[in-house]
Amino acid sequence: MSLDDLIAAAAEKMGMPAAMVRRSAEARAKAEGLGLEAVLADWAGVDAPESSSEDEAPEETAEAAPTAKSEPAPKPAATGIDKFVEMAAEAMKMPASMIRRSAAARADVEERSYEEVLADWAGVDVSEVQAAADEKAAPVEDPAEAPAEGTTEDTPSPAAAEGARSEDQMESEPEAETEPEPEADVPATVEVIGEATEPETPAAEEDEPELVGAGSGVPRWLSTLFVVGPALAIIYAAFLPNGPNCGDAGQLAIDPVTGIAVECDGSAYGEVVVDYLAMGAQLYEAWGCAGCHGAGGGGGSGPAFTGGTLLATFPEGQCAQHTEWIRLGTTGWPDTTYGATNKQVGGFGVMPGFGTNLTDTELAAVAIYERVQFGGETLNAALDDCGLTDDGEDADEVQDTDEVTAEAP
Amino acid sequence: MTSATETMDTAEPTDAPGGLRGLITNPAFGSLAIRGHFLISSLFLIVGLALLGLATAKVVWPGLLAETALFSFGRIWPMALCSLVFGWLTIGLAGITLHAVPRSLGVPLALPAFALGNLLLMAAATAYGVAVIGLGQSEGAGLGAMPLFADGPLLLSYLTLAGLVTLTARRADRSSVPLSCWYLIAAPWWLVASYAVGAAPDLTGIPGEVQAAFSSTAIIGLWIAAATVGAGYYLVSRRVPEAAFNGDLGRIGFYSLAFTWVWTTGISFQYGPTGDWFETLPIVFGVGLAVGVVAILADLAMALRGRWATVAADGPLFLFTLGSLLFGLVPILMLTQSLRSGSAIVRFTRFDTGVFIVAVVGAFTLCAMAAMAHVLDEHRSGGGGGRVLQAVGLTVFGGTVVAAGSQMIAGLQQGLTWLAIVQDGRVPVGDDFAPSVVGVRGLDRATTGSLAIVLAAASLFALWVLLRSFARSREEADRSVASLTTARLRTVGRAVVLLFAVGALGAYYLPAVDADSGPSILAERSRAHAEGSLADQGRSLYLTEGCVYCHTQEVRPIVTDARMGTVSDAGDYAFDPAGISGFSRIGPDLAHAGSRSPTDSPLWIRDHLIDPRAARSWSSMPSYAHLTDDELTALSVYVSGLE
Repeated sequence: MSLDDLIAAAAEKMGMPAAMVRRSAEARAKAEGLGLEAVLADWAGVDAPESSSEDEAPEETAEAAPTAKSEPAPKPAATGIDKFVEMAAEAMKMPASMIRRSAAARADVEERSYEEVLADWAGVDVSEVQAAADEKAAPVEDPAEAPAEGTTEDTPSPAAAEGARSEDQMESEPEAETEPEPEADVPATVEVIGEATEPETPAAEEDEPELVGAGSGVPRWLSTLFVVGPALAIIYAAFLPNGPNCGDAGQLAIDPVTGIAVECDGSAYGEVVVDYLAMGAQLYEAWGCAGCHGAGGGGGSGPAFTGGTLLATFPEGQCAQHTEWIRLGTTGWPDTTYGATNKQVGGFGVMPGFGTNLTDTELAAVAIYERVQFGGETLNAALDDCGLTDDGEDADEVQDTDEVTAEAP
Repeated sequence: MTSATETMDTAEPTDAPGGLRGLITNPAFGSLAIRGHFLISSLFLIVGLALLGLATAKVVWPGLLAETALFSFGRIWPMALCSLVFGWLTIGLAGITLHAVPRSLGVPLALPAFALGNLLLMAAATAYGVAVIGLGQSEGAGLGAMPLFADGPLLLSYLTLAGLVTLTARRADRSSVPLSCWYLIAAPWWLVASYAVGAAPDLTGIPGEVQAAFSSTAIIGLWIAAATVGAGYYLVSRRVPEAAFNGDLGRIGFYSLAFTWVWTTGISFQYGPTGDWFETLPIVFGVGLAVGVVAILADLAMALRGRWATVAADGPLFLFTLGSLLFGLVPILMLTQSLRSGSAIVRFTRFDTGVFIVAVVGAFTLCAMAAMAHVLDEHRSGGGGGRVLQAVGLTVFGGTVVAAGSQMIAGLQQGLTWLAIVQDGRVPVGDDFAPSVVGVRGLDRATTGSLAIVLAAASLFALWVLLRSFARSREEADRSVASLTTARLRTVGRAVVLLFAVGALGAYYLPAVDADSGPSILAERSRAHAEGSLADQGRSLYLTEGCVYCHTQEVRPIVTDARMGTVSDAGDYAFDPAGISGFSRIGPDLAHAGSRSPTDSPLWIRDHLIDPRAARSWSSMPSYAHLTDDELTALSVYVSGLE
């Protein structure tokens, strides 16, 4: 089959213009160090890589690498192992060249021999493949002395580039063997890769440094990076919002009216929002109020708060007196009666004053807790009542902000 | 210029055509032009580094050369930027391109006499542009500071460069060009396009800022970075002829680098007044950029694998390896800048300066030095000058790492200081700004010192270039580079147009349109909005005196800027020329300077401009006593009127 026929066949099979097929095939052949025919035959699905490469490869490669001419290379006979490659290709419905590469890569990863992998895929016994491989191993060994001259003369000849296909690091020793017969494409490489798993290769690498860099393949971690990196970027672009959410990475909200940066809930920046109710509840427990008035405010040795009694004594608007009562207790109370109903001081026994132990805010928080939880007043009303609203407690801080900010429109 | 006549004399007899045609195509001009590029660019390197060192020194010792207008921080900083980017890197890489492309393709340089003439034009226009900034006549900021009248000649010379390179490549009797030439043919065209975007009539407000930022990013990413990589591929393939590159990695690298870098323009707008989507782009494309740079470096490293002993002994390869190490850092640092939590701390700090030093003073400079050394050294066996180059390389590398490292640490410290001040209930303006100035002085000193060391090494390199340029080198046979990665010239041409067009559309045109808005109430109320007013004159001075390099006018909606007043939006800049929002906060933000005391008083500002340390003893600000009375008044009125 002539080259043009092959191209035409491949073009038809792949639905691409012949010129493009030719170019791609050349590039691929160069990159993988294969014969052009081998690539084309592969693509065309013609199962004649051996015959065509045997017939035409010598001219083809001799042209590209004149060094090969001086060495009349022994033509490789179609070896047994190729049979298994094709069987595997058949079984897995993949091109033969891909099988070779994948098998080599797999063998590398699993630290098995190339033959084992191939046998697995082809569905035959390992020993058969091994036998076929060994049969080919012998004749290649003798011309192995002359590799160095063959390579140094020209830049990446297909021969040097051949190293590229044995994927990773271990190509140097096997390459020495393939060198004298650059056209020995398929069979030689196959068994060479098989041998490449032997551990002494690093030493060989040092012996022949001029071969090491020659178009080595892309390491696996790198190819992974090229897929994972852009994939992450695309996922980020697709699923994450443009711009951080308020609160992330120091992001603040912007007040729509003033244009000033504010907290995410719309309150002025830097304002501390205190949950007075929780604070009051905690203090109510901690300072023993529950002991006399009951954990639920139902009373005990002290009067009950529930059932409207609390707000009867200290109605809305009289939180100040309520707070004062907690501060002073029965002993410190200056009057004889207290509250709106003029209750007798000491009528229920002695209540201690908490003014020495609690701050004003804490006293107010206790009052708020009692009024909201037991008296039924709304939280906002209680906060207002007890003077703990935004413009009360935090007033000076907000004023600070206003001073330094622009006179906003 | 004795060597010029010598070379011409020897070359003349071999050249067949006589007369004008013979003169234009005389290859001696080409070789002279290339050496001329190296000599002139080395001079710019020395000038640029000296100015950069002086600028950082002035932050530590503001009294230094305080009396001379030419040496005020706001002028020497942009002069240093332009000297390094347009003088040193652009002219140097142009010379490398003119050398590498013909040799890679095995043809003589087209119209060598034009190359020589073009060098003179390029050098004169660049020197003129830098000088004009020093004289306080520039009209832009950042890399856009090159004034309009220098733009024409510069664009013309860049266009000629691109034309010469392409003409040479078209002459080559080859259907495809190797990877190094992809970069070296594409990059000059990208330089033309990027510079043209920056030189186009400025838009006002945020669209103008987007335009300027895109232009700067493209000049660095598509021209300097691409040409550096091309020079690197050329260098490695020539010095290690048996090295073979991996076709796929090369392709991935080329397209990723060219495609992604300009899309990172949005880094300059994190938390700024542009659309959020524009600020997301650098995060997405930053990953692609990292992939591209990793691919390129892996390709080069794998080609050199097993030969590290050779690399260490070979001057140019050693320089290039050091440069590549820093080059690999650049996308990582850029990604840090673009991530929002990172940018919330380091934006507007010295961190940006550190990144600039890593890229421009470190990575690109070392790689350009390597390629120049190779060109001057071509075909001298044994890597002549190895010792000198190794010393230069290690010094530049070490100095850059210390200078950039100290700036980046200083940046982090600045950002965290502002945060602490804000969380303490204060605002980082006025005396509360002091900790972020005083606290990093030690680090600034380290930067200044290490930049001085880099300057010394660069001077040594320039001397080496000078000596080598006049040494006669053997004429070499043109030898084309074998490469597994080839493409047709047409494909490269399509990539040039397509990649730039798509990048410009997404990273310049759409964000600029998106950010175009009518003036806000604040902009209307600012004194400078009336054209020709005193405040308007003050605003021009604000740009030409380089106030923008130390003061921002941008309040961001993040914790660091909380309590600084109304958050800036695009409408606030509607009347402002590009660059006014500023680059760095070496001094406090001035967005609402006119709404707080004492900066709302023109008189106070005026006194502060004349003697900055009278009211603020800790200040790094230089004195502007060299301005005339009218100018001082205009500038004071402008700043005190910023609402």
